[in-house]
Amino acid sequence: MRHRRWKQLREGSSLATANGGLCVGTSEFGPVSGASSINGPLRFTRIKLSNWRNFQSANVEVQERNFLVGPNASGKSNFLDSLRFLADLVFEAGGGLDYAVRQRNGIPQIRSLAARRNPNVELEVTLGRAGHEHWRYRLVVGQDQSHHRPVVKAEAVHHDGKLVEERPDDNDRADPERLRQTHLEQVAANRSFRPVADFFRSIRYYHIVPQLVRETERWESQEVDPYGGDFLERIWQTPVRTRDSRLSRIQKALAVAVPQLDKLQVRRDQSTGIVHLEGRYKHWRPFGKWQNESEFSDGTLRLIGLLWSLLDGTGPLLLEEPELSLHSEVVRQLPQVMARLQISNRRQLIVSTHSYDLLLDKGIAADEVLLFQPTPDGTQIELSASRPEIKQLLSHGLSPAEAVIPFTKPQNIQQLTMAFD
Amino acid sequence: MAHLVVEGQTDEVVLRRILTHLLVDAGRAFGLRGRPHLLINLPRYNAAAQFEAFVALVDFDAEPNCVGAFVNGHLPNPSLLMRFRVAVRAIEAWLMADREGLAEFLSVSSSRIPLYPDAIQSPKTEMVNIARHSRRKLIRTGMVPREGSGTAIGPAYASILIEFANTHWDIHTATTNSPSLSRSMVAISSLAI
Repeated sequence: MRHRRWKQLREGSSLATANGGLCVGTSEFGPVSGASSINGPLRFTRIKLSNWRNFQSANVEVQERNFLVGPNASGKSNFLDSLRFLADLVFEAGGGLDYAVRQRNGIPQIRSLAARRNPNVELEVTLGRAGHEHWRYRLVVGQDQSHHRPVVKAEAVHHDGKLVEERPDDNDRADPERLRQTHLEQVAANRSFRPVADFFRSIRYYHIVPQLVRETERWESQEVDPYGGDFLERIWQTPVRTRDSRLSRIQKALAVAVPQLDKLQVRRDQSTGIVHLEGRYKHWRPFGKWQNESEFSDGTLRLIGLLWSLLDGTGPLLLEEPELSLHSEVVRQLPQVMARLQISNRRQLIVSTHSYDLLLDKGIAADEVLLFQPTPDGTQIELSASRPEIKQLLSHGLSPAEAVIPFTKPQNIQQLTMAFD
Repeated sequence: MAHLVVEGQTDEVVLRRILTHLLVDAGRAFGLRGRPHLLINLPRYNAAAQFEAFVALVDFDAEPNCVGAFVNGHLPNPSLLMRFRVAVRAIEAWLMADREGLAEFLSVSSSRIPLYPDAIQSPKTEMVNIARHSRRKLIRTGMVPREGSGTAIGPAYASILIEFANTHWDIHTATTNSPSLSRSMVAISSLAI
């Protein structure tokens, strides 16, 4: 019953989200050289998907910060999900190929609708630091004929251009049952490419649903809930000094966006064991009034969730429509907030968005915007920098909102208003 | 009290500092959707300025005519409570007019900051080029565009300028170095009661 309720909330939220010149030339001396040093954490540099959900074939270069834009149902979330799949392969509490496929209801659900004959799904990612490729991981997954269980059809790892792992190998041929697991998920087998497994494990995905944060008692599973069911518990379990430092930074940001909220703390209720997020609201009483998450607005909870997620971890952070429930002027600040954080921690951000306000920031580069375009043969992903007309518009001072959003608008959208006549 | 009509967030912060300096209460910020949007809607703000004071601020940019012709062309009949002001050639020039303050904030030598900011053709490009010489990584990586990015400014350009405008910019010094800022200060000060 609780599970169904959770599913409804998840789906309800995704439905709700679905509806959801100044002339400057380029710098005379050209761009900065050495601005992206080769230091910094490992990050995705290229992502290739074959026969994966919306994508028959997609191959795209990614930067330190990326915004995924496109019409509804073009596959932005499925693109993020392909990276979550990698994280599920190495998830510490029971992850693996079987788990990752089961989470997605089987290979037939993962296969692209546009696929004709190919029964397998394929993922290939390149990891590196600022243009330098270090690792390449490729995985092809299919089903065995008799039991319809997921099996590895191919698994290959390259390190600095050299092949360090290739399957199926002789052992697999002698014992095909071995192909039910990737080598990536096995500590005994991934020794030569352990950094790849560690990197995938560091991926974080957040799509906080305020209503789920408020129903803390509902979340009983040991699994991490990217929708916020265990959000407060996770804050509580963070080491005290780290937690206090993050909450104090969040409080500083909230002081601007939600000025009436002047203090933030977490507290575990001794009688119920439930963790509560509490905020003190200023008003005419001299000491203000403490309220907990059940009384916070959706926007306040989402902003707290977003800021926490930016501070939590160092691996790639996947964010789904961070603009939801936030005031447009708060949304406009988000790219700058992200940019400033990245200058210090170099953390990779991959963010799906429909927000015009978010894309108004002229500091967003053409190669940071990935354009999702549905076609009869599946969705194509293009770097907006690869379209000369977009590049021209941006270099003449238009923002990505003005230059790219027109490519994401469904044609004949005006007819939507007549659909219910 | 005066409402603000601005192109973007940096201009809003600069104009709020100016109004506060001149003891004019700053009201709400309108526009914030770029220069063309502001210029198109200028007559509407002008109409509203029959009832409340408005200060509209735009960059002069690469306009070929003189400032006077530009102002008359866009707003031939300003309302009594309307102040339409132009930053020559962009708001960055007003910020550069506080040479010592900007040099310290950006961690560059003050000799890198132009002596006559109103004479610079593209203050935004100039600002980016000054930032290239910064000794601070935050400034360089934040303000200068990355190679191949296709943008004119770095990812944190706006917020770094806003930080400077809010916390370091010395308006008094800047006024002595930028004639367009100085003229605007005089015009806006007449709204103070």
